[in-house]
Amino acid sequence: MIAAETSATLTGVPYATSPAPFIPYEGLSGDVILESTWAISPIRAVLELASLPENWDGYGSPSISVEVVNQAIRLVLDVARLGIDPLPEPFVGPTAGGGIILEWNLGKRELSLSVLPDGMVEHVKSDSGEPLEEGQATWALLRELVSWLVGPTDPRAA
Amino acid sequence: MARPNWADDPSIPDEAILWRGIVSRQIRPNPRTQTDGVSQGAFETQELSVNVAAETTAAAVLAKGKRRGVEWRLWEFTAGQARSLGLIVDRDPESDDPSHAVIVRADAPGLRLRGSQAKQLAEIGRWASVSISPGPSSTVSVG
Amino acid sequence: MPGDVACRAEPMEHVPPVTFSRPPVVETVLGVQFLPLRRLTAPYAGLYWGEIRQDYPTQEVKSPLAPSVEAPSAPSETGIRFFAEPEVRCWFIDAEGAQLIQVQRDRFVRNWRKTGGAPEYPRYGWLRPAFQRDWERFLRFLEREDLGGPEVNQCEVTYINHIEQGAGWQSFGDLAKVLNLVARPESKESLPEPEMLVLNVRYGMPDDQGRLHVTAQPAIRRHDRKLVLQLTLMARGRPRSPAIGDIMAWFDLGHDWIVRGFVDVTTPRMHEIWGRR
Repeated sequence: MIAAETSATLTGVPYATSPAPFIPYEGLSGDVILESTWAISPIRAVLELASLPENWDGYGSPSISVEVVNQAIRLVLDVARLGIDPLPEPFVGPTAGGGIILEWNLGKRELSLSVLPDGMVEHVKSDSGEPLEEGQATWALLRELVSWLVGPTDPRAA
Repeated sequence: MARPNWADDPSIPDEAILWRGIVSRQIRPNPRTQTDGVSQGAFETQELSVNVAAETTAAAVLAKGKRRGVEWRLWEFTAGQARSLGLIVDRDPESDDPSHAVIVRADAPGLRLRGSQAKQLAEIGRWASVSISPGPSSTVSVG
Repeated sequence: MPGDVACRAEPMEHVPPVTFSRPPVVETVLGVQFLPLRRLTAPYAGLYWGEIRQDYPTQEVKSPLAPSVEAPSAPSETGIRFFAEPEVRCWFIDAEGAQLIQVQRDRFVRNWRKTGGAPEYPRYGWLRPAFQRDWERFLRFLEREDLGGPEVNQCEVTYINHIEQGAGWQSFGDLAKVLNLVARPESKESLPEPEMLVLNVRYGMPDDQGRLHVTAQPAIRRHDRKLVLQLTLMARGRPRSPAIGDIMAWFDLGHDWIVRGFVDVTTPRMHEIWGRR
């Protein structure tokens, strides 16, 4: 059982967040406790998306559910918790189906993490706009993905 | 409109330009091109609505957006480019929009476009070149 | 943060009551933990809701809180418990969304939170009898349904305060102006402005009555996305007995510690901003 006392768990969601540090009381209002200043802008951007209305894109996309917003917040906090520095802030935007996406560009490398409407998280790694790899993102994979994004260029690459 | 029987329509040729309306929240800077790009999230859906440019006008598409309460910029790519990503393009005319078409996955039309497909639509497309003359009767040319 | 209550906790020196006209409190908790009532299953929680539904018309189901033990001579521990049936924690919420009862097999908690419909802190003098009323109603329900009598082994009083950026502080380097626990380095070779501040301080109450936990950490407030310093004071400990009188006495003790702790850890400058009387 996780030490964090008030986290609600989304059952059936493969993305499992890292074990949260002990916080004596997290409160009911869902205010987001921060461990790094890096997370401030992305969290604000996620919370802003929570107020998108139905059909915000003109194509009938639904507004973004509380569950997706919460999952995106957890994802941002988990990225922050990796402590990989420096890491630029991601672009935070809505997806057409009612999810939230985080996108990074660093040189030729790009990484996207999409929180889907069902709460699952998927990633796409790209180089110079060409997708290299995609799939379900897990907390364990997160470090590898972000490290790749900020890491040195592979000298073996053509 | 959701349908169970999407099929690629060969009457939409590969060179046909397709337009997708993009709202401001989906626009993000592209550092590689030093221009405004589009978030991959704009294409992460099961049935991607587009318009066949040759069968409508930019003004009509933009007006459709306005009727739906949004301001669009038009992102364009060709039907052939979409097909090369493993997608199919099928007509889905609407009562007020006969040029409406839908892009779905060729391998699994009911499923959301793969992240890589959405990413590539954001990469291979470009902003439609649209000029609107001032005045009450706007004329639009696509250059 | 208000404190209309004069000191009555025997180990503490008498200090005049403290009140603030503009306290930064956004949430309060009065709660008890007890040995699990095995027969208090989800359907009975629903039956209980039927009895209080007029006052708390909305319900939500959450995953349960882990048991916690404020052991006298050891740091707080969080435990693990296993039951054959699925565990739930039920929220019963009033019409304004400001008053809330949380029930699970081993916990009864009453919260107040600041909302648009309830922007003013109702004061401990109101919260205390409200808890007692709801707790006694819960006890009557348990007795009627033959679910057992709770053996209360821990009480908790928590106050969460939000100190907005711009209301006394601008950067993390300013927090010495807010918190007495933080001091600016005086050396000319001092470090640059801190990027982040997280404080976790624990105080033992005399005679093993419990602990006061003080936590200060930045947070983004969900409803308006403002950056705040969240200052949480939680008093936790074991009452003399599970009797209602001893539970309420412990709440008074915990509340006193929170009021005095709040006054002690925050600066006179902030007291002025909050309208100390």
